[in-house]
Amino acid sequence: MTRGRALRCLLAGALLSPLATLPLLHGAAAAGLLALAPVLVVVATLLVGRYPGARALEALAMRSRRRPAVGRLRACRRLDGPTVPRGGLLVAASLAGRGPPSVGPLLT
Amino acid sequence: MSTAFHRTVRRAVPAALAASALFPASASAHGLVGRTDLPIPDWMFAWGAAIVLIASFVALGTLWPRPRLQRHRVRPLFTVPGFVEPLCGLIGVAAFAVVVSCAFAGSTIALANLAPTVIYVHFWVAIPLLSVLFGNVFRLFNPWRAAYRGLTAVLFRLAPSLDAAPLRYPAWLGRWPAVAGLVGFGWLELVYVDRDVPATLGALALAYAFVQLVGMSLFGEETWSERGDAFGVYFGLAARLSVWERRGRQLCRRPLLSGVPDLDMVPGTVALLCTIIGTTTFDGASNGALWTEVAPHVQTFLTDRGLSLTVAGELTFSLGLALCIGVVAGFYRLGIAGMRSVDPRRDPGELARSFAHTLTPIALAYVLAHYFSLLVFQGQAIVYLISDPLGTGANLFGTANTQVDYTLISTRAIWYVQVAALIAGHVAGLVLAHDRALEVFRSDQRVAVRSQYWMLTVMVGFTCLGLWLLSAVNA
Repeated sequence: MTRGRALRCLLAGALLSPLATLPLLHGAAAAGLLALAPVLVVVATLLVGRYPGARALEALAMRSRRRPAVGRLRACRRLDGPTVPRGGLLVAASLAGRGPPSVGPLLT
Repeated sequence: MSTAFHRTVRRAVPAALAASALFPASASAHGLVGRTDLPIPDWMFAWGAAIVLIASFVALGTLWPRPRLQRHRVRPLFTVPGFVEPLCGLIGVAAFAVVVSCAFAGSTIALANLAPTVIYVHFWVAIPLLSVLFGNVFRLFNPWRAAYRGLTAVLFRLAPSLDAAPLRYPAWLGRWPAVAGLVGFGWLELVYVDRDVPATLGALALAYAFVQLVGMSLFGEETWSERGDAFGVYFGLAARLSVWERRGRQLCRRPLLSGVPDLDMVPGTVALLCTIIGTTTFDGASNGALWTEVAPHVQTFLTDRGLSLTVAGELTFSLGLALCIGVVAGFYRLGIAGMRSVDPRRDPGELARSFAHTLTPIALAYVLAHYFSLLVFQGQAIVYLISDPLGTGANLFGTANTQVDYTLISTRAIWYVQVAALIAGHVAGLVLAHDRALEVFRSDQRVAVRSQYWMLTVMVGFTCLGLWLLSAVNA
């Protein structure tokens, strides 16, 4: 154990030590200590270098990063199948099938 | 005169209750009295809040894989007509003039005079909350800006060669003038013995307006308003939480919370946010059992050294205020140091600046949670004060006989609003921190996740502290 880590463990122990006095406390002091207990526990855990659930979170985050967004998935699916022209697309397709009207006589 | 006296006496009972909410030196500032019917003990709310934050942290880690708030698009809605800004400025100047006049010419009884209630309740508490809801409303009504614009419009017409900003604003000064202003106001509200003397408030308001006019004329209106005007800067910060944004004369809508990451991290910004949270923290702590037990000892120690009782009291409270701001800043720095332990190559100052904007919703959550009861109860006083602003027995609008309705909202409902505000503010802080971490630690997912454990600690810490303070005040 390095010196820095030992110091951090000592600090974590010091942070948690007031919680040991809880059974002896009453009234406002006990309520105050109980209210601050969550932060003492979280800080102490991190000070000793523990990140509970970090690996699971990293894996989940990586998976959701790789997974394409729902909108993009739908777009891909639309492109996969044959497209039947309908509505505006039908008009566009029929216009695309023939050339533009001649404007030669008008220009001359 | 006699009518005025009787009216004052008639108001005395509710006013005494309101006084406890308005002036922190009294027994239970912003007091919720008798909140003893909660289904679970107070400390369990802190545990519940911590669980909500941890659940939010996990949800963010899994469902928010890319930064979404760092670059955003606004949706223009409509153009604000040109006459709105001068009109609002005129209203702001008129309101300022009325408040200052009342402070000097009105009753010396704080609760019978319009000025203290408007300054401590409507200006200090209501405007930040309105800014969250409706955007930067204060910018429209800012009396100092409006007065400066009016004066310069005349001056530039007379002497067109005048320079609008003769001095360049020093970059190192950043938002430090605003920090000084907010510490000053916090000191006035929580420490100064004569804080409720209307004439003192009026004189200080005039002095503040004078400093603003000098600042704007030296460094330019925009620069000074965004750096040196303590209230403008504070209300502007609150407005960043709003979905409304003004770009020129265009009113736009932006995604929720997306205005906060844009905050430019000039020097003093971290200190500014810590000051807002620290001041509110001291307001709560100074009414708690711990402070009321410790403060007399410090005061006695100082009086034994030859200081007068008043000076010793003010010095004790000044130390408490400084300590609270220091504790808040220290706790934030602890979180930053923890983040740096995950990636030691990072500069701590740079990290502190990168994540400082996450304190914005926390600051506002503290303000809402702490002052909600004050706003709901003492805020009603405006109805009778507007009819009798000087406390002379006038009845200008026929509302002088109304009273504060203490049954408007139950103490239990107030407690739930406070808890909800604190949790929502801290979840918002967590969202902002997570989004920024994805941007800052883009290359390393492991570091991004682990760094956020430290921000989670900061958020849980501030939530538990906030709830503990509220429960201590309300006990």
